Amino acid sequence: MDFLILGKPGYLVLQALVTGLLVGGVYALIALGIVIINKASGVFNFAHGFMMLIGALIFWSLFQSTGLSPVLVFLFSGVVLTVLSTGVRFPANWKREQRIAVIAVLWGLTGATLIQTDHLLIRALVGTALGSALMGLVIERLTIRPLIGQPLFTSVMMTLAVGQVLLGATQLTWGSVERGLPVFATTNALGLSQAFAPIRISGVLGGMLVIKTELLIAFVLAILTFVAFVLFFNYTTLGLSMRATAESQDLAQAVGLRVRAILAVAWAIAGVLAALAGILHGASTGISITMAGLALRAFPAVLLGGLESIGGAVVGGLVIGVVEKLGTAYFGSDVGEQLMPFVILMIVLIIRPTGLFGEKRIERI
Amino acid sequence: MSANIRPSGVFDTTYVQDMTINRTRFDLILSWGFLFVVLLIPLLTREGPFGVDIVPLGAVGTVERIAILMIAVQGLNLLVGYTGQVSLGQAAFMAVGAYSTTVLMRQGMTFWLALPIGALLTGLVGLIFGLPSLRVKGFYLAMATLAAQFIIPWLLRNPLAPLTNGSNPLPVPRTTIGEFVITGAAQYYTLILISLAAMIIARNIIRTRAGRAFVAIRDNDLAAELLGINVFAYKLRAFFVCAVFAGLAGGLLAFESRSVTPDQFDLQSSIELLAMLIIGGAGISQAPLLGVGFVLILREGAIPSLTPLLNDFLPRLLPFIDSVNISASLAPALFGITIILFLIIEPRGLAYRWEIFKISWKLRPFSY
Amino acid sequence: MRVRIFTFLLVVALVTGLVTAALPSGMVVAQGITHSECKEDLTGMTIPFYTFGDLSGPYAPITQPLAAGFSDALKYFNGMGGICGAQIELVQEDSGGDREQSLSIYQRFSTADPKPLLLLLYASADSELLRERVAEDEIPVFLFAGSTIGLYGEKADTPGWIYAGIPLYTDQFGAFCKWVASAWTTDLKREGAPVIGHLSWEGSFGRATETTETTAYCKAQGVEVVGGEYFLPTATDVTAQINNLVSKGANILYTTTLASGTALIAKDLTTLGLEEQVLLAGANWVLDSSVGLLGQRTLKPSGMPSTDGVLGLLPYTWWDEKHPGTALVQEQFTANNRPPTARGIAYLAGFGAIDTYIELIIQTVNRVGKDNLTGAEVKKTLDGFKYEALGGVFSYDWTNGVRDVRMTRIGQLGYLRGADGAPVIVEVGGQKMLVPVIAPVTTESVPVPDLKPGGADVPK
Repeated sequence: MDFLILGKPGYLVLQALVTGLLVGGVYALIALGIVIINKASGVFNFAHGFMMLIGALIFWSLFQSTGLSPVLVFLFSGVVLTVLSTGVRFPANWKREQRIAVIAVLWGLTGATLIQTDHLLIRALVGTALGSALMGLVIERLTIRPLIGQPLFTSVMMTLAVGQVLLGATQLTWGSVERGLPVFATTNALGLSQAFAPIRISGVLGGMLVIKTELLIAFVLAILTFVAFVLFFNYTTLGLSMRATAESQDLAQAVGLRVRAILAVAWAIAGVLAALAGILHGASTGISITMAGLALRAFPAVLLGGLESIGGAVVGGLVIGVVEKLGTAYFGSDVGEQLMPFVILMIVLIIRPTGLFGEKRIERI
Repeated sequence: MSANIRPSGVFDTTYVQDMTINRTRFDLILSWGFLFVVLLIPLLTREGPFGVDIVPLGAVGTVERIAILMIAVQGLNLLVGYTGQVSLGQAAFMAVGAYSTTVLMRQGMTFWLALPIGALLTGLVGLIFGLPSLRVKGFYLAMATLAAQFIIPWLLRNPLAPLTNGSNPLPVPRTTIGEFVITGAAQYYTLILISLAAMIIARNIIRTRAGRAFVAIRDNDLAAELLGINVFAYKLRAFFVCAVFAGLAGGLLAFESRSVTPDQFDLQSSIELLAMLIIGGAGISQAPLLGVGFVLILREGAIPSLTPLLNDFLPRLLPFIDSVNISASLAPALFGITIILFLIIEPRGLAYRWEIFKISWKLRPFSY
Repeated sequence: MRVRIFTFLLVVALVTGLVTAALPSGMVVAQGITHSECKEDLTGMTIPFYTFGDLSGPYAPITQPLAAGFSDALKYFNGMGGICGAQIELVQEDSGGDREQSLSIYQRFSTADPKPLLLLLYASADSELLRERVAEDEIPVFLFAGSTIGLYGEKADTPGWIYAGIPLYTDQFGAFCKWVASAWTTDLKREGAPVIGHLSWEGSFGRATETTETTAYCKAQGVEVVGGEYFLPTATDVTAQINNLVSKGANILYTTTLASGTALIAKDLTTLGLEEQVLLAGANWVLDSSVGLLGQRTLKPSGMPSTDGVLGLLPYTWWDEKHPGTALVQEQFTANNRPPTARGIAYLAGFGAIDTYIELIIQTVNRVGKDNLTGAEVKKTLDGFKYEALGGVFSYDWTNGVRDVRMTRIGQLGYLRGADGAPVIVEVGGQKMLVPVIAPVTTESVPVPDLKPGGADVPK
């Protein structure tokens, strides 16, 4: 006996729902990256898709077993750590020597991690985190900071130009070859890396439910990242000062927060988030130049949740994922993927003009 | 920021003077001089009547596209620059104009009638997508208009496919006056004249009651409402005018490229139109000319002429990089870097710099 | 440096002259590749070869190997004497996949002085967009795509100035239907009747295959078509689309996508456990090494990659077949240190296009002389052009108003196996990989049905 939901076999509807939620996890990660920057500086980042692409490609390169030149590795990680450490607030009672020692130890550890080729996953993760954070910092320093005090829309357009430069940089370094990224994979009997098998649950609503492992991992990571961010923004000094800066840059400056450093950190975090989203997407479909376009599909997620809301980004991502897949199951992919996310977005915006969880600003004359 | 700084002691003595478009003799000479040069361009190519090869033939097409996109960007300028309502759907509105003009022409209507009807139809579509502006503001509004960017191509591809050929390009019939087919130089002058007319109309809209209401809404919509301006009605009017301009540009683009496809009007194009406006300087009426001119000359003139040189030179400089990768990276990288440098040096746009230049010229030898 | 270039050119000229003089009839460039004999010596001339396309946009994965093919082929053929001594110069621009830019680049090319003799394109959408204009500007186009509108116009009744190097996508699909109907119970050992669902990319390329004519033709062959799903190239997952088609009864998915699209479909079929139940097939682009490289991470229960056994159209000779033409391309490929990922249809097509261009210009010059070499004259040559490019790797016959290739074979993607039947594993960049191999399933080329609107094979 078939179990039907609105004329569709129940297991297919459930399948669409589950896949939608899981795909929504990737959208949520992308949306998070865009929201972090918007929250800190009010800039909507159109370059996010290209940051994802570069992050994923850095990861791919480090995931290959080719060794790196030790001199370059130490120079690079030294530079990145020095830059990053300027954004960290050490406990006030630490002596200068202690701070330097901590950084030096970190430097040695990262350098050693990047040189070795026995644990590729760790190397790739550490390298990508550093590389993408550096990318975020460089973008902020070279293109966004000179525009402080200028019309906001100029900064938004700037991210567009940055996207083009990043595209040029990927073309120059990696070309446009499509690459498989066997990260959620085991080695099979032949010595080939093989993607994790999907989880199959049979006998659900009259059929079999298939859960893609890599999408599940992406989903779990997205949720973990979200939880980490909630903790970060609520309990750490840096997170609290970022929230203060987002509230009012002038006031934050007045109480002694280093606004510029905080903006830089926001971009570094967005770089890392972009890389993470890129890796997770790449792991399920391979790295291709079309990845940059995926960020466009996450735009409705950002707006749905609200431009300033971390939780909203996650909810928005999941909602858009589910809408896409359910829409596809019922009306076909052209309606489901191209039309429904935007129709839903329009409806939500008309009912709640600042998204589901966006900040409502009280306007005065 | 005033466009009308004049030496002290020079006043307007009549209302006509106060309202003229070219407020000074210098402006007047400049406008006519510029128009004269533009009109001269096709005559100076190797196919012109003088047979001189001063202007490359390819430049004619670039100027044509500048003239067309200028209309779309001027519409956007009225909406974004003057009324303060950000729209990311301009290319979709152009698609409406291009397709309605083409479909009407394919039904046998003449271009000269199809073009205005297409533009008005686009205006109506613009009204629909302007409705969220009642409640939605700022970047959220930009994203609500982004929905147009996806909904309109979907409509063109799927339900309207019998009229539009779906995803496939739709050929545009030739435009004629009697037996005379408009092409070559005639096409150029047609486009320039329509574009000029659109610019004059836009300039005049700004000078009307509606134009002043637009500016009031941009500066503070609550204050505008208190002054008795029906904010929503004027926002809708701005959307309507913006869409009509976009529809006009779309119809002309169909006329120029003789084939239209939904791919032509993607989000990328919308964002680029907005970028051209920002580069020109939103809220200044010369912005479209400067912004579109800058971007198109960069992309169609400067970058293509630089690439062969760099394609030759860079692989020798960077022998460890595949030369195919180098040539693939050139166009986006050069475009991006130029825009970045430009925005850092002149974040308020070219028109702003132009005003500063004019003022400092008028005030010379005093720098203030 | 300059002296060296001149010396080099002098040597090239001399060698060319000697070679030209020494060969009585036909010019053998390499073993198996013969160009027509030159009646005029073009030494000292530079003949440009124009092409533009999406070097940095969504179709870049196919463009960059193509560009590599062009540049290696030019190096090789120019070294062998170019076109009767004239050197070929590549003029290439990047449209970024943006139609606006395609138009502006075309306009720049078409107003160059002298006008291009031929333009090479490979995007269906570009050809459809420029169809009318190239005819007006008298610039013939060599297209590596199978767009009906581009080649034959909106009503498919006016062969234009565009000539394709592969069969129309509609005709490819028809040929597949015909083959699958005959092979269903025999070669493929399947039960029931074949039912096809289209699963392709959104856009004019992906949507080119599903037309009322192809559906009617397949039905007449005994193959039902249950409709299509069109996904965006950015898709992360197509399981919902596959489920839709399969629940309509499809047991074959036919796709018109490039590598990443095909690999994604193959992977999701395996994920859903449908790899035995549903066949995956597609247009000629589906049979590409990049599909095999990209799609080998997901394994079927049998232990072979999900893309193993993908069927497709093979209207040319593949790298893996023994042939003097492919041997030459392979040799140049190795000599130029191209990465294994570039060894696909695009590189081969790039090489073939340059070879065809040379023959085309030689024939035109022989007919009208070098001073009358124009696009219009090249078009006249094309209208009666029959050529076995690279000695038969590509076979072109554009006589009698035909604008595309009318013969094809069916091919299949597999993985190289050793003598013991076990798959061969190589190590590339520290990663162990299987080697994708594409082999014909039908050894003889068969004519493709004519499924243009109003075509000869469309059921009345």
